[in-house]
Amino acid sequence: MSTPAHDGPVMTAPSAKAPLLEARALTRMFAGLAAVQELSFGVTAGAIKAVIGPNGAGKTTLLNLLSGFIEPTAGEIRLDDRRIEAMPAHARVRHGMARTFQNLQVFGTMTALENVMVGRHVRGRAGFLSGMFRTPASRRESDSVRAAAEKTLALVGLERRAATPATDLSFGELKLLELARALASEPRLLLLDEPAAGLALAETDRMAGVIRGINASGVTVVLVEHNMRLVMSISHDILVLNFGRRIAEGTAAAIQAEPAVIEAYLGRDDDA
Amino acid sequence: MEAPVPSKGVSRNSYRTFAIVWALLLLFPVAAPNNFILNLGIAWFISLALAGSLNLLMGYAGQISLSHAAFYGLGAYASGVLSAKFGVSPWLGLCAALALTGIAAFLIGWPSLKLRGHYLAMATLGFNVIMSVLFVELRGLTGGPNGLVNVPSLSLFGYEIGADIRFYLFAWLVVGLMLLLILNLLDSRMGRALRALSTSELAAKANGINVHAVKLGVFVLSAMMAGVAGFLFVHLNNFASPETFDFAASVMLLVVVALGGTGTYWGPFLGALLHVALPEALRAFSDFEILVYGVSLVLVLLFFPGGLSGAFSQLRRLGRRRSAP
Repeated sequence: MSTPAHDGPVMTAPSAKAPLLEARALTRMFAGLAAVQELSFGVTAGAIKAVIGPNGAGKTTLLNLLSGFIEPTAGEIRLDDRRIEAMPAHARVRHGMARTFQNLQVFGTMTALENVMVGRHVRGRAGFLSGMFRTPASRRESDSVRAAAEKTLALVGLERRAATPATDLSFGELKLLELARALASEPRLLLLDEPAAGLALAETDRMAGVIRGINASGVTVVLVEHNMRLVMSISHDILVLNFGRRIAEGTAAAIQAEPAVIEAYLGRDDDA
Repeated sequence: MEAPVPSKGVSRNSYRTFAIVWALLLLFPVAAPNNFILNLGIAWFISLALAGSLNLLMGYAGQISLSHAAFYGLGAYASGVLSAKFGVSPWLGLCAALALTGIAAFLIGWPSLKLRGHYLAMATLGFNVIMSVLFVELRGLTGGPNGLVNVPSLSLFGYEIGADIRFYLFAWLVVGLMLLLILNLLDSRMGRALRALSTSELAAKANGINVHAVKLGVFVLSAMMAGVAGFLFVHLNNFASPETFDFAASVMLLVVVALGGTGTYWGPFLGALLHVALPEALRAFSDFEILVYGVSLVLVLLFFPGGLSGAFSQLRRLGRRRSAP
């Protein structure tokens, strides 16, 4: 592991066991520019970890790297100590990783329930033929997928919207629907890309409650977020990025006191 | 035919409507005044099989194929040539048609569906042109531009299925089964996956769907269904000629699906109706047929982007709003 350029107050995770997710010297270049550079960090199982930083800090690039939507230029990603950086995005879901998108990507032509049923894709096995011929096994599977999807919708409080076409849902509901869809695969690790972006205050608090509940049920959460109200209220620890590098990592209180963080967000005060 | 699973929304209704429509179609031969009209019914079945399978690929999975007619032709020539030139049973010919169309679609789809964008459209365009050339140039097998003649009719348990009520019932059964399989698929795990990826490939991947595999699967499936339509066509007419399966025919099928309503289950039913009825209605202007299609496509897409079936639901919603207090 390489040493990061700025050494923030690295808080060691509460337990000493190997992290569920780990990045080692992760680098991604875009046309000669490093969006993520020599980044190393771990996410402890059971934690809520927030990734923050000014615009262009590489937060979304990091999320895309972790979920397999772009490939790293160099470095490793480990899930359960197993290297996954070359694994295609869809296969990572099978290994317990799920994600949401900052700009909503719901399936507009489908109902809310169907969206969540798609989210359960990796938990099913029925192929083209068994689906076409409605084999008993595929029918049983369909039933259980539907029942599980209904439960997941209820988890985010959308059970009464099950039969509503996704296009008819409000923005706040769509955010929750995307969360439910990601949850439907029963992930161990949930990657959230700005879950509070565009939400009103009350909706943000509702979202915070839902994420906390998901985490309490044993799901590890990594979220990229601008909304400090959400970040400070739910994260166990926070990774601060600037120009693709780690400038600080630790609890909310620790990073708020960190000069590098204050400088990155507010700029240097030369008169001080 | 009733859905065993108490599925919500469209699905259970769709099964009921499908059962009613298909049962009513059994009355058509009784009502048909003559063999000519009956044969239009058979042509509608074949057109529906083509439009329905293309709609599965294009409407639901969002993938554009410009060689649906080539698969139709491959199915027709596979079974036609084997039975006319080599005396092979048409039922084995059907197996050959399914295998050939499936393999061809797999070979075209595998590389072109790996890439994002309109590569499938380009690859299938090329494939249709190549197939048209082969249908003409492999004279020894296909009969060349004069067409393949002396294709035997089907026979089942010693009964010949000629171009009359027996073929009507046979097509009713085969195409009915095909449409039922499509309906089942749409409400299954893979069906949801293919509908999902047409809206957002990104989200489909994020939900664990192997986008390439599902696209390839639905492309192969849709090609094989076109192959079955070709099998029906060649043994109905005892004849096949290249121009039925050329590139223009593929474009025409796209138009038929779009006119009916892409991505709606009932769209192909209406599209196929136009496909069969319009040429008869426009017989006097046969040279302008393609012009009429073009103009009607533009008009439909301008005023009813959802095609005819979309227009129906648009009107129904309008009516409901009017009747509401």
